[in-house]
Amino acid sequence: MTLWEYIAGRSDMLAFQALQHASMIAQCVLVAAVVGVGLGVVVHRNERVAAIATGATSVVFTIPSLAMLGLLIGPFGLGVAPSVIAIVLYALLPILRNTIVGLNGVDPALVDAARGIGMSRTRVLVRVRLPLAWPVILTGLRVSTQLAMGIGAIAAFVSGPGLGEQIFSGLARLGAANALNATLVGTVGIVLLALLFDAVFVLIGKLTTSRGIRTHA
Amino acid sequence: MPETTPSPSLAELVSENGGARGVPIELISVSKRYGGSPDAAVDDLTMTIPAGEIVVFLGPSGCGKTTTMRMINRLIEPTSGRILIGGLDARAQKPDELRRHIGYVIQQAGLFPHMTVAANIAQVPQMLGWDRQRIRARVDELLELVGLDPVQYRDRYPRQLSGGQQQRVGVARALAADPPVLLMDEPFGALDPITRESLQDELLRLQEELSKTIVFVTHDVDEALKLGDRIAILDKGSRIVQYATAEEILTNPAGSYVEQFIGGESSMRLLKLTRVSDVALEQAVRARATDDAADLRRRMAEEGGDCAIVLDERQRPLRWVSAAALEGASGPVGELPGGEEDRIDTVISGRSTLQEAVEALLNAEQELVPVVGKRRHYTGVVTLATVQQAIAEIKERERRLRRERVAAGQSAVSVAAEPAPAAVVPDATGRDGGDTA
Ligand SMILES: Nc1ncnc2c1ncn2[C@@H]1O[C@H](COP(=O)(O)OP(=O)(O)OP(=O)(O)O)[C@@H](O)[C@H]1O
Ligand SMILES: [Mg+2]
Repeated sequence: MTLWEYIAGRSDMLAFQALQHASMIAQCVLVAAVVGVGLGVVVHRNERVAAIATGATSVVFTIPSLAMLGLLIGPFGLGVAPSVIAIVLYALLPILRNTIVGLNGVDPALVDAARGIGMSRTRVLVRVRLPLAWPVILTGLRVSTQLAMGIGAIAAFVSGPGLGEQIFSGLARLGAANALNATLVGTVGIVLLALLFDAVFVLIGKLTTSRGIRTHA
Repeated sequence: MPETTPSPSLAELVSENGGARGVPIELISVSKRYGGSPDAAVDDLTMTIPAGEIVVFLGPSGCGKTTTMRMINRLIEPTSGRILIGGLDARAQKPDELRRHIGYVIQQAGLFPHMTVAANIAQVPQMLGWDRQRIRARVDELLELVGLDPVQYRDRYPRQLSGGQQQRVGVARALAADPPVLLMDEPFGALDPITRESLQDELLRLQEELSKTIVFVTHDVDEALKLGDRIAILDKGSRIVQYATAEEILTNPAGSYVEQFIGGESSMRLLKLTRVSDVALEQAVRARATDDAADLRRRMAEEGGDCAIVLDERQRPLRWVSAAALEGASGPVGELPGGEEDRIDTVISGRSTLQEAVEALLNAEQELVPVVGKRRHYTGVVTLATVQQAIAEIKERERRLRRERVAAGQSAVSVAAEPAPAAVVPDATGRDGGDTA
């Protein structure tokens, strides 16, 4: 069976798996974004806590994703739960770190000017720090999304949803009929999804970054 | 009184005041000690900044200028002492609200790069809850005030402006809510000399219109002398070495520290400081083009002077006529042959400095240069003698003032000079009694 025949033969299922994969990543990144940015906003002013927060997520990062998924089977069983938890945990790191770096990277003279004209701390955060840190935070989100794509594929190891199933089942039956096709379809599908998501981020960046601080304009 | 009436805020003072005019600022035994440092950054500073004046803090790096300034708007809290703004204790007010009524300008403007020029200027009015229309109108008004065309500049981003333009917007932002007080920390420090000069002129022009109380920090002696109604020369710990007008500092520096700071050339600096309109001008014999040459010669012989100035019907200088040229001449003065030396190619205005006058004199064919007022209207002439006389008079006046002060039992140099009427502080009576001892 050729690759095309393979795809045509199960287009419904592949579309469903792609959709599942995309939806899982989108939701996980959304959760990671809310938690990561929120946490970053809370801890960025406290150097020590900020260091601990980025340190802790760095530790998470050193755990191989396959091992992490395996560890999560214990408390959470198989399926969606461990997959989602692992993806969120990994996606958190770049977002949190970039939020902290972005917020602290704002020129102190600007913060001084903002305070000097009578902005409250909250207003400085919302009106000055966050908008100026936004391109950096957005980069964190992009990196997280790419990361989540890959880990989403491995989530099939714990029977997670998505295109990873194609890859895993393919690899498990390597040499058998359609094994290569399945692996190929899964991999290419994820790459395409990743490109699609990245394009969306480029668009979001264009729409949400002030013309005054866009690097290319 | 035991009951505490709600303390009035600077905001209320501003609205009572109709917004614009400056209020005095009093620093009373103010000290600031940063944690971990044995020396105080500001050590027991007492001074009055009179309403509506530009007071310049001049001192070496690290002497505490910025710290002192930032205590006024409570970006830094004093370790001890009191600060009264318009007679109101700064400590009794919410810092954020206080700051909305104190303009703040820093080096390189500190404009928010992600906001347009209009949005930058609108920040304080937004916080004060003005409606859109009022903010819009105010933004345009302020842009005009600082010399930027609203149509062209309001929607630009800071990075689309030159450094000088950015600082203009910075000043506009600080003036947005018409605060009585303006704090400026080396605002022109990062600009090239030409832009800096023009912004200084602009600031003086603005101040003529607005009469704010301005605290201005700089390292630059020329800038201090030019802008300051009063200059506070500070040493380590914000210790006031001399607090006086530019003239006084130049003619009567309080010791070697100040001398070292102004670096000699005090007479040259006085020239730069004094305007032609401030000195007594000389008069040349005036003539009309239709006057008879023989008549003019007679008049010149009577009034003295060997040079007459020919004016047109609107009193504008046309040319010189020398006594020598009139010798034996007859007919209308305007028809006499004029040589190189009779042309008037330089005139100066009353707003020129004496330095500019000297420059003009050195370049002129004659020993005198006409001074003109509005619409080139002739008002008199300057000569090198005029300039010399003016400088001598300034020095004499300052000497007399010093003698009077000494006679009145005050320090010969005006350390921490209390300006007379502006500094009326409601509850300063007890303190005054103590100070005179
Ligand atoms: N946040 C701070 N913590 C500790 N020490 C400080 C702090 N800010 C200033 N200082 C110290 O206080 C002193 C006065 O500093 P300040 O910034 O007021 O000086 P300045 O006169 O404005 O100097 P410059 O002309 O360089 O701007 C300096 O010795 C400085 O090191
Ligand atoms: Mg400073």
